[in-house]
Amino acid sequence: MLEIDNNLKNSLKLANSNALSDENFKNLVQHCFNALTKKSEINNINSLYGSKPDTVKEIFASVMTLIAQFGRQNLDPLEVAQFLKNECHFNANRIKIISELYEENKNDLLVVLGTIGSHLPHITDVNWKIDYKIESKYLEEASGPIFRISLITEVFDEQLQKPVQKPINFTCTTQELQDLVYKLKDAVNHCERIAKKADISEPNAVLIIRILVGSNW
Amino acid sequence: MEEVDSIIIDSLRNIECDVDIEIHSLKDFDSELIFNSFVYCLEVINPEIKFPHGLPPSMSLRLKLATNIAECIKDLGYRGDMGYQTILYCDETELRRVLMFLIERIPRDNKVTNKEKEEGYVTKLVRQIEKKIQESLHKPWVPSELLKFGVDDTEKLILRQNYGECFSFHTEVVKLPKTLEQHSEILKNYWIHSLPNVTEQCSFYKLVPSLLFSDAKFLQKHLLMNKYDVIKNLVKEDTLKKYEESSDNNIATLRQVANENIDEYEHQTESKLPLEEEMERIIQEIKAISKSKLVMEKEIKTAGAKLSQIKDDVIQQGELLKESQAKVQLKKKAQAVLSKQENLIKLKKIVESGSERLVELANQWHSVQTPLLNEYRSLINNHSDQELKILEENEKLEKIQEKNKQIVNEIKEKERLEQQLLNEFERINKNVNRSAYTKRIIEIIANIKKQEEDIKKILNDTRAVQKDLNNLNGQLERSFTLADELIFRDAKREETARKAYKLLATLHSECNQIVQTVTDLGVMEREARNLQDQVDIELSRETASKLERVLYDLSEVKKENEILAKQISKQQIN
Repeated sequence: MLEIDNNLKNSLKLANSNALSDENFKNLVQHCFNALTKKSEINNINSLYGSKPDTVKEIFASVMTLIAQFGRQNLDPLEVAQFLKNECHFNANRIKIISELYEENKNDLLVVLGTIGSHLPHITDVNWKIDYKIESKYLEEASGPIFRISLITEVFDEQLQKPVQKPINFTCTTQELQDLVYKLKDAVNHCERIAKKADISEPNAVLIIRILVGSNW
Repeated sequence: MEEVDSIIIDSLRNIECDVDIEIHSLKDFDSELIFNSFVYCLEVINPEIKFPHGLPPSMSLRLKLATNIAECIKDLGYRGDMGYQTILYCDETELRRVLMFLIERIPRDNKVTNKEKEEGYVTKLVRQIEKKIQESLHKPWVPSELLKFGVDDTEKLILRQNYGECFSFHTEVVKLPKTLEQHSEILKNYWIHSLPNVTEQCSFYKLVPSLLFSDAKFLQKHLLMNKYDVIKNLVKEDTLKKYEESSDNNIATLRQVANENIDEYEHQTESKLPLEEEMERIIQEIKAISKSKLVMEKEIKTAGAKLSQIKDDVIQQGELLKESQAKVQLKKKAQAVLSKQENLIKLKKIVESGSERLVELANQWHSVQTPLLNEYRSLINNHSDQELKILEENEKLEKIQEKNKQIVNEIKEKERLEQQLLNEFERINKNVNRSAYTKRIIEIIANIKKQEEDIKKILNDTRAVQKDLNNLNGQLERSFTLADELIFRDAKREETARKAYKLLATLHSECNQIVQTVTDLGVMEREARNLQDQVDIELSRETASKLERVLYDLSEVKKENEILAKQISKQQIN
C-alpha cells in the first residue's frame, strides 16, 4: 500500500483547506495532469495565484507529487478515492475531482512514467552492404562475403531533450550473420510460443465423439 | 460407448463440474449429478445464465427449474425430445445425446477464464506478459513520428512500440515553499515573489523523478558531506608531504655548496705570487708546444696516407708487368711452333677433326634431343590436360560443397519442422487416444460398407422380381387378347362359344379384382408394419411409465399445495 512522508502530508493539508475554491482546485489538478503528461496548458497557473502565491505553489507541487505516486503504484480510481479519504482526509468533493481526473488521465500518466529508465536503443531501420575479400588468386579457402550492417536506432539525447538517430555499425561473416538470423528467428519463435500459450485450443474431441457415436445410434 | 463417456466426463471435470473419481460411465449418474452437469454446461456456454447448483427438495421448485433448463437447452438449438421429464428422469442414451450437444457448444477458451480466479501474483504477471506479447505481435508497425512517448495514444491499451523517447532517471533539487512552518519574513517574501513554480525549476524530463524522490535529498547531502571531508583530508596530507620533501632537498644542496666554497678558499690561501708568474709562463709555453705538436701530427698523417697510395700504385704496376711478360712468352712459343710446317698441318688436322667431331656431336645431340623434346611436349600437353581436369574437378567440388551446404541448411530446417511437428503431435496425443479412435472409426466404416453391399444386393433382387412380374403380366395380356379374339370369332356362330366368351370375360374381370386385392393387401401390410414400428418406438420411450411418473409428480405437487394451503389457512386462523 502507498505510503507518503509527513512533509507531503502537511502540504496536502493545505490542498484540503479553503485556500482554493472547488472550481480553482479543479483547475489546479487539471494543470497538474497537464504538466505531468506534457499536454499544452490551457491557461497559465499564475492566474490561480490570487493573494497567496506561495500556498498555491505548494499545493501545486504536493498534488503533483501525490498524483505521480498514484501512477507509480498503478492504483485504480477507487483505490485513489479510498486513499484520499483514509490517509489525507480530503472532503468528498475534492476526492471526486481528483479521482475523476485521474481516471481520465491515468493511461497518459502511466505512459510518461514508463518512459523513465534506461532502455536498449530502439531499432528503426537497417542499412547493409556486402563486401567480398579477395586475398590472392591461389587462395585455397574462400573466406566468403563480409556483411557490413548498420542498425539505425533511436536514442534519447539528454542535451537536445529529444530522440536522435544513432547508427550501430558492425561487420560479420556469413556464418556469424546466419547465427544472428537464427538467433532472431529463435527469439521470434519464442515470442510466438508465449503468445500462443494464451490461447491453447482444445483438440477437436467433440468431432471424434460424433463419429464414434454416430454409428451406434 | 466407454470412450464417449470418458470424454464427456473429462469435459465436465474441465468446466469444474464436480464428478466423482469413481464414476466412469453415464450409467452411474444420479439425477442430482445430471442436473448439476446441465447447469454447469449452460453457465459456461452462456455466463449470463444463473441456476442454483444442486436439486432443491421441493417438487414444484424442481419442476420449475427443470422446465427453465429445458427451455435454455431448446434455445441453444437442441432438436430432440426435451422437457422437464428428460432432465429429471433421463435414461442413458438420451442423457448422452443431450450432454454431447451441450459440450459441443462449450466455448474453447473457458479453461483460461476459470483458472484465472485461483492464480497468484506471478502467474497473473506471466499471463499479462503473454497477452502483451500476443498483442504486440498482432500490431502493425507505426513510424515513431506518429507515436507519443513511444505509445500509440489513439488506442486504449498501453503498448510501448518505441523506446526512443525513454530518458534516464535524473533528479534535480526542487525548492518548495513550506507555508505551514514558521519561517523568517525574508524567506516568505522570496517564496511569494521570486520562487519560480516547480514546473519551471527543472525540465519536463526531470520533473517526475525530482518530485517523487525529493525526500531522498538528505541522503544526497550526507553523501556529499562525507566526500567533501575525505577530499579535504587527502589534500592536507598531500601538501604536507610535498612540503617536507622539498625542504629536505633544499638543505642538502645548501650544505654541498657551502662545503665546496670552503675547499676553494683553502687552496687559494696556500699559493704564492712569484711561482704563479712562472707557472703562467710555463703554461703558455706548453700551450704553444702542444699547438705545434698538433700541427705536426696532422702533417704526419697526410704523409702516411700519401705513402700508402704510392705503395699501392707500385704493386699494381708490378702486376701489369708480370701479365705482359707472360703474354710475350706465350706469343714467343706460338711463333716457334708456327714456324714449323708439320706442326701447322697437325694443327689443321686437329682443327678439322675437331669440326668433324663437332658436327658428329651435333648430330648425336640432335638424335638424342628430338625424342626427348617430343616426350617433353607430350608431357606438357598431358600436364595442361590434367590441369584442366583438375580445374573442372575443383569446380565440381565447389558445386558439391555448395550443394552440401544447401542440403545441410535444408536438413536443419527440416529438423526444426520435425521438432515442431513432434511437439504438436505430443500435444495432440496427450488428450485423446488417437489410434484407438481411428481403429474404431475404420471398423465402423467397414461395417457401413458391408451394410451398403447387402442393401444393394436386396435392391437387385427386388428389381429382378419386378422384371419377372412385368414379363408375366405382358404374357398374360397377350394370351388373353388372343383367346378373346378367337372365342369372339367363334361366338358369332356357336352358342357354346358365346357362353365360353361370357365366362372368359367374367374370369378376366374377377382375376383382375383378385390381383387388385392382392396389391392392396401388400400396401396394407406395409402400412401395418410402419405403424408397428411407430408403436415400438413409442413403447421404447416408455410413455406409460413416464406418464406414471408425471402423475406421481402431479400428486406430489398437489400434496405440497395442500400442505401449503393448510399452512396458509392456519396462519389466517391465527
